Amino acid sequence: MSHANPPAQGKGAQANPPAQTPANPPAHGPPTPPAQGQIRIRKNRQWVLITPKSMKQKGMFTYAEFTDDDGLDTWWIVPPKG
Amino acid sequence: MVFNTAAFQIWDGTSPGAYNPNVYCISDTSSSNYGACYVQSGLARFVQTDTTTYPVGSLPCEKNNTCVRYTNTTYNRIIYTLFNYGSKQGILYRFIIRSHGNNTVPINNISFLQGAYFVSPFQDFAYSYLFPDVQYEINQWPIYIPVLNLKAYFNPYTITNGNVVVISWNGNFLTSTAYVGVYEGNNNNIWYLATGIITWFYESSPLAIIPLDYNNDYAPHRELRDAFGYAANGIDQPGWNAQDIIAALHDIFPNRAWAVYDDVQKILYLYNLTMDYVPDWLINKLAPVGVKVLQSPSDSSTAQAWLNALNARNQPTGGT
Repeated sequence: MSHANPPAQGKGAQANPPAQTPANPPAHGPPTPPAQGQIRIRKNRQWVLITPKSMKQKGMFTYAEFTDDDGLDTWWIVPPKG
Repeated sequence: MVFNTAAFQIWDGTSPGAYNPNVYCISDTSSSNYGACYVQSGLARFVQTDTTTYPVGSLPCEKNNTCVRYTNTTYNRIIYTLFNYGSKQGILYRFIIRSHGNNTVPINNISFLQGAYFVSPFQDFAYSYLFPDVQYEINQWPIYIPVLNLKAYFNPYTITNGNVVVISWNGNFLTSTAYVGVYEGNNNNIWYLATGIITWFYESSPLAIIPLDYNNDYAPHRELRDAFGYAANGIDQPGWNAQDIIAALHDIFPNRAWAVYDDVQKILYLYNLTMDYVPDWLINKLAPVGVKVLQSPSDSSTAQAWLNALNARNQPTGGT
């Protein structure tokens, strides 16, 4: 299944808000610190800042809910801090 | 991951926790509670072909949903299609099954054990004896298998209703199909129960996670068989491409709930499901990096039915 990348709708959480996640993040240097309410997830081999709509513990893992670039309601595994 | 390990548990009326013989059915036709089954988990099996004296649905175990009734006799009956992987292969690895039936004939050979379950890569169970590396152990209660059957070791007993047999097998058999069957010997008015576990391996693949009835849901559809293999537990159903699985399931079962696991992207796709309906044990088994909802359920009963069927085939307690 292929999904287009819809433009930001301005509501809900966005996987890649332009202000925090530039298309080509620097290869070196510290990552952008999360703003209030944001968390970092590891997605497509990159750190991505999201504002989760909710968090859920499922089994041994914690997942954050957000609307992904494909427009689908998505839960993504949240790595432990550190 | 190169291979996955799959398991299927049999809970046909009894369970490993049934330590004593008070789990059984009544086959004495003169008894006032004829046709009743006292089960612990799942459904017992009852063969009664006389539908004039005992119309379908009239047996007590049919009324209270404690048995599956058969109205025909057969020599061997296939109880489960364990898996049917088409052009993929599984590696049947191990099983141990405890069967309990109402045959009181002394048992010296598996061939004469009415009501005993067994597993075979073939529909013709005669070939079961040709397993490579075969190690059958056949026992009557009291059973003494210190490692494999701790309950029998700690609490052996002589059964008062019928007989109980344990069959265990270790080996390696590469096959695209495997069946769980029972020897009935064309007998009527018999009952049997069984508990056990069967394990096999298969190549890591995207999975179709939908509990299906093999005869009615899976076998009639070439599209499904082109997209993924069938497994009795509804989970270990490997396919070739996650998007092909999604497309086939969307066409065949647009109104049911199902999930597809992409083992390359490590993403679990949900259809007519939400994260709330995905059981913790499935998350622990798959450890998906992401879970995407293709479509939320318009009717929660659709999602609940998926969860109930999945739990029934994998967790007898039905918990999430």
